[in-house]
Amino acid sequence: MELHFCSGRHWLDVNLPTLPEWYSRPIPAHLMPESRAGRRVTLAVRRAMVAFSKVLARELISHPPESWLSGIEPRTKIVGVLILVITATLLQELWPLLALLALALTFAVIAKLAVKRIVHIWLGIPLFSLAIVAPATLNLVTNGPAVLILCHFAPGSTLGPWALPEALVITQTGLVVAGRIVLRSLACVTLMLVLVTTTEPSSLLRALRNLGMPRAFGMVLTMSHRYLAVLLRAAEELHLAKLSRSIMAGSLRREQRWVATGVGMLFRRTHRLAQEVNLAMLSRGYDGDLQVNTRDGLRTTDWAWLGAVSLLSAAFVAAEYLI
Amino acid sequence: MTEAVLEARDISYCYTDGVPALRQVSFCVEQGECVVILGANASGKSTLLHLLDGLYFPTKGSILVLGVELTEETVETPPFSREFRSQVGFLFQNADAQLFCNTVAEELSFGPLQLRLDSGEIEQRVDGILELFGISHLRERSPQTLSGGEKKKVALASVMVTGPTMLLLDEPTGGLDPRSQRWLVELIKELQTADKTLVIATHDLSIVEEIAGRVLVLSEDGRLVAQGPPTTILDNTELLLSANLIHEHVHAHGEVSHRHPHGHYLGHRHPHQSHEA
Repeated sequence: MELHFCSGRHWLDVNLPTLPEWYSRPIPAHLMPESRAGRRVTLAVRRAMVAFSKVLARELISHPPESWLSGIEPRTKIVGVLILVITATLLQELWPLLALLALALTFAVIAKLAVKRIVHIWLGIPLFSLAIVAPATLNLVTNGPAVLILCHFAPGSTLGPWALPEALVITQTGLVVAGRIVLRSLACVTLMLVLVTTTEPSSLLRALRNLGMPRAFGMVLTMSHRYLAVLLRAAEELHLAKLSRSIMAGSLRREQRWVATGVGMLFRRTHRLAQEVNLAMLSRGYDGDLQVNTRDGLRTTDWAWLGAVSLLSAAFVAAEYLI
Repeated sequence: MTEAVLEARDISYCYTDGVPALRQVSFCVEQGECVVILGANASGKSTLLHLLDGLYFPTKGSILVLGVELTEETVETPPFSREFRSQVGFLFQNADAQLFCNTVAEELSFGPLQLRLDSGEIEQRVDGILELFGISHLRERSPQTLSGGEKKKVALASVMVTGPTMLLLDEPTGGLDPRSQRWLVELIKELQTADKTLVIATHDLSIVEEIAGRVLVLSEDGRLVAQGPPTTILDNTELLLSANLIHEHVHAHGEVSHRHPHGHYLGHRHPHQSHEA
């Protein structure tokens, strides 16, 4: 449609949009959704994205619960936890390792860590560790007094070039080795969990930079942390935009094709954002030699934490020799 | 006569795919002047500001800032590079791209740190700018948790903390609520009083007359089609229509319908010159 209107002294031509004829027709019956088969795939993608988004929001944005541990200066906290982790790798006996695990759990309680979260992690670690150390419990790998006979082999049996023993047994020494590895991994993971849940990610990254992590590496980590949520939101928007225009549920193959296209789109957006960030850095004086924040001073409580952790570690190692 | 601190001489710019963004643009900006660049979407406003900040370089023509031509060499070579970055601040349209640090405090100290200011001076500046912008409560917050308006404020604060004498603002009112927009207009007026040079790219006509000393208009194909005092430009309906800064509008008064140009500057202003029953 062409209209004429007056603008100041002149008449101008304006083309007004006219809706096409098909736009006012009802949706054809063959385009109406019938099957729910493909919808399950879409729903699964949507649920996975929402769950991932929630986890990220919790991990990236949440503040640590107020506790004595959250008040410790991040650098000293990292050093303290590192000392305890090194101690855990040095300990060979089970009792000192159990004591160290008890200490890690005490820290978790002080840090007000949710029991559900500890249990969730603890359920995964023993299973994973056991899968790795299971062969070490057998007399094929670790010799020692038999605890449980699993099966007997025929005399003179071989496995390739290796001669097999009379029976396949779980040995006491093997169990100690397995227990040591499982206890060690439990203690280390609990300590790390305490560290990351009592320190804000930004403070943790700053502390790592101040402890000597290469500046460029620190900046990359900082930016990854900063833009992860932005990119996830972009991915979610892509998915929602597609969902809002989907009349019929697609097949698995079509969904897979869409996901591949979405990844490509996201990569382009990431690239554009990276270019913009680079320009913003240059604009504010970045010349390739990154300058970072100077260090803050340590307080008495920080020194006390370091001293206590060092003493406890020394006590664990000493206990090992005494036993 | 006042000194020109910024001069664009017949500049053209093409994107890497060969699409022209700006064509033969020439203008000067004097010390303490507030120049508003008006243009529709994709008219080259942002590109022009990137060129003025030495982030892109013209395909043809030249740009002089503080009397020195901006080339890749001059912008990257001290001592001019450091002087240029401390004197010229650029507010990006996309605040998310500008806020790349983990906390607001880190964001504000980024610029001064790169300019190698000492820690005491940096702390003093960060505290001062947080107070000026009324965002002290956001100090330890992560930029990703801020609202659009807060992000814009932090982004502008992170630019101003280096104390630039020349500010390039790309769509500064974009995404701001009315109160924040009013606050920003007052801040811009305050900066003018402090003799700061401002180049502002926008298509928000409502703030132009209040802040601009001079207005440049870019056409949709990236040409500088007019420049002059804000009242002269804003009264030129034909120019604004051709630059796609105001739109045609149809509405009814009882039995009578009007078709006329319509823009949201100085309230809701439009002439009633055409009537159709």
